[in-house]
Amino acid sequence: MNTQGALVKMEVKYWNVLFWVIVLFSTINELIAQFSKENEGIYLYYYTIIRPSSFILAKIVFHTIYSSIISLITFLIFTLWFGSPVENYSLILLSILIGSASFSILFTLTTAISKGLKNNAVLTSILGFPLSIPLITLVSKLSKEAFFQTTSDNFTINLAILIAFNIIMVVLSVILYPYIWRE
Amino acid sequence: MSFINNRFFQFLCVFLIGYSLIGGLLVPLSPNIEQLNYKESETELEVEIKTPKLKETLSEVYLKKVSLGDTSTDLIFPTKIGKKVNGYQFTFPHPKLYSNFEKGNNLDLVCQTETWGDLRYFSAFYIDTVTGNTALSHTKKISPKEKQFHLSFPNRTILNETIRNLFFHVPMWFAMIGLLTYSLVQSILFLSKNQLLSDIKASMGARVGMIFGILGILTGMVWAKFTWGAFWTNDPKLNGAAIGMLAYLAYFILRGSIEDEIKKAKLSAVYNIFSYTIYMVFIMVLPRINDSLHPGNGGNPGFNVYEQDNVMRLFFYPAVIGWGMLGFWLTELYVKIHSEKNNLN
Repeated sequence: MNTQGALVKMEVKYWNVLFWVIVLFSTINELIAQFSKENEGIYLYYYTIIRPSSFILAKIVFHTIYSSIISLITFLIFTLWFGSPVENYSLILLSILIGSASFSILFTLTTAISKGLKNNAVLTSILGFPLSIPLITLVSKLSKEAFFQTTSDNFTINLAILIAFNIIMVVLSVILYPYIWRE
Repeated sequence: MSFINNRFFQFLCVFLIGYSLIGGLLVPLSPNIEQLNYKESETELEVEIKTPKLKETLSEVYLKKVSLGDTSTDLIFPTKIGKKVNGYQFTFPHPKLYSNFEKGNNLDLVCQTETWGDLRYFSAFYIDTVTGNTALSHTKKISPKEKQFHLSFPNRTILNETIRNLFFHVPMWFAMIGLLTYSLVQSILFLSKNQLLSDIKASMGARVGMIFGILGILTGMVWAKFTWGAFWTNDPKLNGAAIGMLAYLAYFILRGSIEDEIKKAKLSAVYNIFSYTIYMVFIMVLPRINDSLHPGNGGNPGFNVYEQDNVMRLFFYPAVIGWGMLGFWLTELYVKIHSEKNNLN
């Protein structure tokens, strides 16, 4: 199955992987940019008015929405330039949402850890990359299902793993963030 | 953990590792069918097997259909048995002549001996055509023979001598998981009690755990080369292990890039807990769901199949305990060195 686009003819396999790699990098860039915009003063202000768990939860929700929008735009541009192999649009939307949510949750915590250190942009990527590789494989497996009319047997189990993964990461962030809140 | 400084603990550790090393390398393999060649004609199937280690004579030989239930009726007995140098030659009536066997059935070759039990060549033949419709009829009733106790390891096709790697590869992973769990516990202790000693223990546990992880990957690569055919296969467990290593390398980079002791301890403890949880999901849960070549994963049988006989256990459990003890001993030494350094500073 090949897909014919305006620019190139690309195999579906590479389309999928390239798309997710771009989503990953845009998420990382977006997160680092967001965190570096805020100065120390505003953190001090947050520190006096809210609990750390609500702070990290709010961050996660905000970044999830933000990076979902960016991923959707990426998807549109991809469709425009490389053509779209997608048959099942609700599924690709679902996987984009879950994928960008998992990347943002993971990188929110790693940015929070490396916030306030020198070279924090590099450290964020170093801390998050190893853990994002399996996320990419899982998410690309999920979005591959969208290229066919019918879903395979592994679909529900992959979805369940990803959702469980996200829940674990959110719970860990909420539990652990209070300890590094003051650093 | 003061008991590690006990002389008895240290002697026991050295003894167990030495015992499993010597035993694991020196105990011979039991005899098995090591090579199988065949010639077929319209009505006959001529099979030649090599069993160089087998000294006694066979008591029974048959071809057996591979299936789940009791299929003592789906057996074919040879019409002629001949002794060869280092092996035997049998002539069977061709399986495709019988209506019991369908297209796609696999046949095991089973040779029964008095002391070694059933010697099996798994899936020796595969039926691709069926011509006859004569049902089999047997007068003999065959029940599987148990192996008598011998100090020898099971001899499996493909695994062959590499079965000894069980005493080296698996204990490395057990030791690594034990040490990483110790490191996790110390990280949690640090976050709740704020003692810097816990932080040193956590980082040293992770360090020694990584040493064992690298050894586990190396021994696994050698094993994979000789059984699966390549040093690295695209197996979820292998990739999970490699990614976990990267995560712990990131942990050491994080520790290296912070000057302040308390800050370093806090941030790395948080990252340790986070990466431990995700790592365990990668290597314990994902391979069990996805297809994996490892035993016990992806619908494969557990390793119990390979250690049915108690001789494997006799060396496997001491090896696991011994290497685990060595891991904790090393950690304790590292912790001592580092806390002494801190005291000097």
